[in-house]
Amino acid sequence: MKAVLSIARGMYLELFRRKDFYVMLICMLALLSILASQRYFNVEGITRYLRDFGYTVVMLFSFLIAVIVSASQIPWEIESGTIYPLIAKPVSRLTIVTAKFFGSFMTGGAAFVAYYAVFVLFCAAQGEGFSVVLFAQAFYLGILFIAMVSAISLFFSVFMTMSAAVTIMMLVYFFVVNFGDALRKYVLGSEGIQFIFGCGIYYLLPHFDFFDMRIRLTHEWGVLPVWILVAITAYTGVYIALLIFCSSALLEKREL
Amino acid sequence: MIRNFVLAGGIIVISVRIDVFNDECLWKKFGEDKSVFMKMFGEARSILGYMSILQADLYFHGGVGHFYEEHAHGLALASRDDERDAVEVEDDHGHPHEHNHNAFAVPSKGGILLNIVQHIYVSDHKHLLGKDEKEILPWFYFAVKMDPHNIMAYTVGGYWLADRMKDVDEGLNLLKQGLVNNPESWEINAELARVYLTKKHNYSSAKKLLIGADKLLSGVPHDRFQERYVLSLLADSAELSKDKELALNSYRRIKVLFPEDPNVERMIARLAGSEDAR
Repeated sequence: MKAVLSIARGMYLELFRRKDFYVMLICMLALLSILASQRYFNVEGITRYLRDFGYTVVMLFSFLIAVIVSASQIPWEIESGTIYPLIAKPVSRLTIVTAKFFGSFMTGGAAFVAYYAVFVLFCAAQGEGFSVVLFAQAFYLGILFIAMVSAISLFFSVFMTMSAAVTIMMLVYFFVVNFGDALRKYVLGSEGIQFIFGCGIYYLLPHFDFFDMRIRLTHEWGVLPVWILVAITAYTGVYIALLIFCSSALLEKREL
Repeated sequence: MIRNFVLAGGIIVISVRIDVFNDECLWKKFGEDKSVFMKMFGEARSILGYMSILQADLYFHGGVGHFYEEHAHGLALASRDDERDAVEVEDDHGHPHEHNHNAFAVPSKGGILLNIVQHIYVSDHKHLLGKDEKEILPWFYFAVKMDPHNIMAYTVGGYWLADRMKDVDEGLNLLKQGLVNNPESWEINAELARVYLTKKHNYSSAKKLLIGADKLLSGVPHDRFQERYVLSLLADSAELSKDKELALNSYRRIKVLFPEDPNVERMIARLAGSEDAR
């Protein structure tokens, strides 16, 4: 545990040295400032578009930070040779992968917290009021989303180069977000072997759509029931645990 | 939707760069006073303008969009309030069944993961009402800024401001701006006239605009329903501005379009002061 925390802490501190974190923060501040200062047909108190854009930008930028940080860790360690002193110590591959996951998660999570705080400040400054519970749920699911993204990117980076891992991650994200529901409808409408095959793919794919609170947040739909949050948490936990286990097994087999 | 919006924007920016005509138009004259959207997106900005209209529609439906039941029995939208009261209709076998608004209500097979989604996704149906009606406005604003020739953005935006938001002056301003950018549009002329007629009770202005709309309409392909729309408004404004000859003429033209319509016959009879009316 001590080794995990030690490696993860080093990665976490890296966030504050990364320029992309600040660039994205400045971009977000500029975008939200422009949007918040707009007046449309002299009507005041229009807020939904700001929440819509703001939440999308928060999730997109946090996603990018999490993917880039987690996908770069292992390839960079191997390329620069810094992984050799690490594996020479009595540290298992599982510990290395777990530490890398926590480091990536903490880094992406910290970026998400910063971006989300800016987003909430802008929403609060509009003065129209908002559901604190809904915003808290969106925040919690955002944290789970970052954890999931970090674990998947890390998994890809074990057997791919950084750029390949980032590209594949983007493609998986694009596919799940845009075609996840179509796949679900196909599976539910199929029978026999098609149903089993479809179910397999559906269960294998990471469901980023479970964490998306944009529509609820923007259009003030009701909050999610607690049992749904528990179910999503359990799903995320199991998925991450399996990915860390598979990543460590793959790293074990990889010739270094 | 926003995600697709950003993606489409990116593709359009790239496509403009490889478009020879737009390169000639835009990049050589970059210093000229053109709208920022024209500089960024070129002619492709009209796509983004229409996407803004779609986004406005999505906002109107609480971000969820249309359900099949709304359009299952034709193009006209069913009354959502009636639908909300769980409409009883007959299925293919003649048995009554209840319409369900939950688009994700599906048989529970495939385990928890396949079925949990119906509780996560928003699957209910609502419309913007009351103080929330203003939330749709940014999308009309973006639509006309991106594409000053997006007729629908002006007409729907004008209706929304004048009728739904009760801000007639802003509605008129938007429609007048639309008319400056699109003087050949019969739709904007007619919509502007409708607002003058029904909200400002300025019948003479409405009549002038509708005469213009009628002329413009005759020069473009149109259907009889569109012509009836303009002629009905023209007949109303002419009658209210004491121009009975024009009103009568308009109703007679509607009768040619819809010879079976008894209401038109009655209006003609009333205006002509015939015995049938009494």
